[in-house]
Amino acid sequence: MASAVVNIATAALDWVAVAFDAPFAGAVVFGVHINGHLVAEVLLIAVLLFQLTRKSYKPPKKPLTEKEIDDLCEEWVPEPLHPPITKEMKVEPPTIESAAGPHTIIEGKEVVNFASANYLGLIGNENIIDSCVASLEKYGVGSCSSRVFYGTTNDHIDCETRIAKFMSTPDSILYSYGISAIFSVIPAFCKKGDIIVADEGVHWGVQNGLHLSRSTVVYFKHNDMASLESTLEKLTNKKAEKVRRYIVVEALYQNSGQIAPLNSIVRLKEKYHFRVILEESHSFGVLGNTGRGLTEHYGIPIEKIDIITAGMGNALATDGGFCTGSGRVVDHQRLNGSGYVFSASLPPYLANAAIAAVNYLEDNPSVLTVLRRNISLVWEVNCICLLDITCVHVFIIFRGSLF
Amino acid sequence: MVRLPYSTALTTLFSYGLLFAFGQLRDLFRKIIDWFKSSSEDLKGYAPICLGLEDFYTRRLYLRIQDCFCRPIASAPDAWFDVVERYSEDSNKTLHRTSKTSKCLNLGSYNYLGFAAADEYCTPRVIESLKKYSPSTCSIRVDGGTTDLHTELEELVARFVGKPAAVTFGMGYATNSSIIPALIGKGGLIISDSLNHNSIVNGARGSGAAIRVFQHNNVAHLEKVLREQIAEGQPRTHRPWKKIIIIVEGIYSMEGELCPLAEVIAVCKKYKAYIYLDEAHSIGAVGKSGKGVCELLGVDPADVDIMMGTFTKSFGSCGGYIAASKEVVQYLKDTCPAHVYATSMSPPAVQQVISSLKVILGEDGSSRGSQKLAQIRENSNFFRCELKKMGFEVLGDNDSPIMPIMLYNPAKIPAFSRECLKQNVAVVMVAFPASPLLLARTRICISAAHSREDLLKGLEVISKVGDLVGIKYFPTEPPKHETKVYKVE
Repeated sequence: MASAVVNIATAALDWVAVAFDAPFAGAVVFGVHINGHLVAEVLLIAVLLFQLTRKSYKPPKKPLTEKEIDDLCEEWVPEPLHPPITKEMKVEPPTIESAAGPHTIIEGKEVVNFASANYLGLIGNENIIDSCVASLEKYGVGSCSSRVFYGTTNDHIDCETRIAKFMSTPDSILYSYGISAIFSVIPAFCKKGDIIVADEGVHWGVQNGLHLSRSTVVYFKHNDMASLESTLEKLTNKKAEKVRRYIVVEALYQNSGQIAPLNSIVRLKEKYHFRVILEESHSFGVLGNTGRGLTEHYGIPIEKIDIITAGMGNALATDGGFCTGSGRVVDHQRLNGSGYVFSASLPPYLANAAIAAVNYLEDNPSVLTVLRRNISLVWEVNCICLLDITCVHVFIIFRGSLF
Repeated sequence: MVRLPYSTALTTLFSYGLLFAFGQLRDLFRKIIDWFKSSSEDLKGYAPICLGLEDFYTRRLYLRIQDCFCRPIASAPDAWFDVVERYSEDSNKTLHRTSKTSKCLNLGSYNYLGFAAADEYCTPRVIESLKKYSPSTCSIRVDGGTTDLHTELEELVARFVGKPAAVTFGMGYATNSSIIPALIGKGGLIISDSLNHNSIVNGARGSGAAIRVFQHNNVAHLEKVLREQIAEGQPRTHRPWKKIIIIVEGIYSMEGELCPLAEVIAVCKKYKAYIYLDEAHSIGAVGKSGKGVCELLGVDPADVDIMMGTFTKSFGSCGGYIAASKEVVQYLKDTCPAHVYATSMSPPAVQQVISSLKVILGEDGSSRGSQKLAQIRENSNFFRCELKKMGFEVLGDNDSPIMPIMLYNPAKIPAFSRECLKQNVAVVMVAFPASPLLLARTRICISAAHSREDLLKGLEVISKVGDLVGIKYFPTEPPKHETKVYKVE
């Protein structure tokens, strides 16, 4: 057995020796000595060429047949349109039967109203109601069109001019719904690739605007300036000239009642070259000696804040919202603010009510003194109040410093 | 279907190219001049708030024809209204109002049933509710913003539309953009018509669900997309979709076309998808008793899962509503952000809708409602028929009160608008970005408040201006009395 193997091996070796001793094997071609490895190389090249001519193996593509798609469609079971209804969902809110002023009627009983954001007590104001009646008789209720297509009345333009004059800015733009102001403004100025630093505690309208803008959003701890500074520090890089960067804060936070420290924010903004978008829905008409908002409260010139938005459904006791800033900021929104272009304009009587409310505020700054006195009264007592309105318990908790 | 002749397409492209080239040239000069002037210290270190490309269209194209848009009015947007005259001292960059007004025929406002101006039934009740409830409730719906007017309105809307329950919101745009995220989220699929309104697009993006688009009004393509998507499942993981919602509109506002609702519902039922119908323009305007496309196309409202509409167009008010089954409405009242975080609808506006609904239903004791509905149908069909006879390219279906007339070339937009205004007819121009770049149009909205004489005047002016501007792309139909008489020799 072993000798047979040895014999075969020697025979193979003899053949190899013959190949290596063949006359061409010792030849010299172009000054290069060619030895027996020529045979091996030619064989290798022949094998390579053979493999290259073979077709490569691809697993066959088998698209789904019509029958298979039909089966999949039949098997698919969608989720129900709504999740199971819980007991909390069935609770109906109390229905009020009169104006939502400081006293209102629920189920025939007169109750004290701590739920409406009627900060200046303008609900039921005679001047406002008279100007609305005049407007209703002239224009009807709705404006029946977008601002771009004959939905602009003289009252809208007057309202924008009045608000701009009150805030000492070049111009302002009116939106038909309070919450739509902020979620139209943010996507108009912030696009993909821009950087936004926002407070954690901003309300739904702001969060929706941030989501729609598709920019990079970084949140900092609620009302914490150290956290804001460290976030801004992390985001500073050389590309500042090309990328737009914004800080988005609310002046008076709807969810927590805290006031943003605007002086620190402006200092940080100037140090790190960010722009500020300030949401003043609950502070317009409330903060500042004459109700001009957070900038007056801190004594900061209004030119330092790039964009201010506010809903008018709180202090001004009307509906709608506005945005104010430099001329460039306002003009840009006239074609790019989605809530302005793609929606019907504010009903003219509400624009009139806004003008009357701003006039009242400018003529009667003493109403703010009354408001502050009421706030400090409750703050002194520093209590958790429990109000029983039919079967609904309303908790009002006053906390946080207001001064 | 828009049929764009080749010569028109070429001239339109050439015009836009020329405008673009001029715009770039002016931008170049502006850059050179700005380079010489030093930039102010305040803006050093900041990127410009509006990047050059973003508002190129605004600065170089839109500002030239700015006087055709945003025209202020000084009276109610009824059949005739007063348009304020404006002038400019710096070639249209800024416009100033004058105290002069001109009385014009209103072919632009959404005043389908004529409730825009003060109405004999509605306005006294609105003023009464204003004095009782004030212009605003200053509260969100769940915290003292629900008055008995709001409850009454929701019951009335549900009854009118034919659904078990309804919920109302203060703004139509906010209705769409906050309801869609409440109904569907990540893991769901939204299939929407390619020409859906911006509010639906925003709502769909805000929801986090995957979005697929099907060709406008093409039910075969919708079925194809549905089948593919159900078979493939979610992208990458191929898990089955959680739910699928198909979003269509009753009348598309830029085309005036109705949606093939019966076929779409048949497809939805077959593949177990939910359907969301946006009736912003069709509720109150079409259908024998004004109940919208469901009534017009003979579809049972119970087959449509969610019906959405607005009160701005046919009811002369503001706000939007959603009508669906009791459970869906209960769920939406609990989760929808526009209900839980936003100020409730203004009470006088609520009263206006209640009163106008009562007029339409005939519950005010008169037949004004059915008269208005018959009037708008007759007016729309007459106007559309006459325009087509004149040779204009008019889009839209019969019975729809919206009729866009195609212009195409950008220069025809201001020409048509200004010439019509000179002859006291106010029309609305639709250009980019509300419509595709090459397909600029003018959109006529007919109202029940228009009388036959108003329509004839409008037709006369449009015909004259159409000849002047050159937009009669189709051959005119010869009037019947001019048939040739052949002499028998």
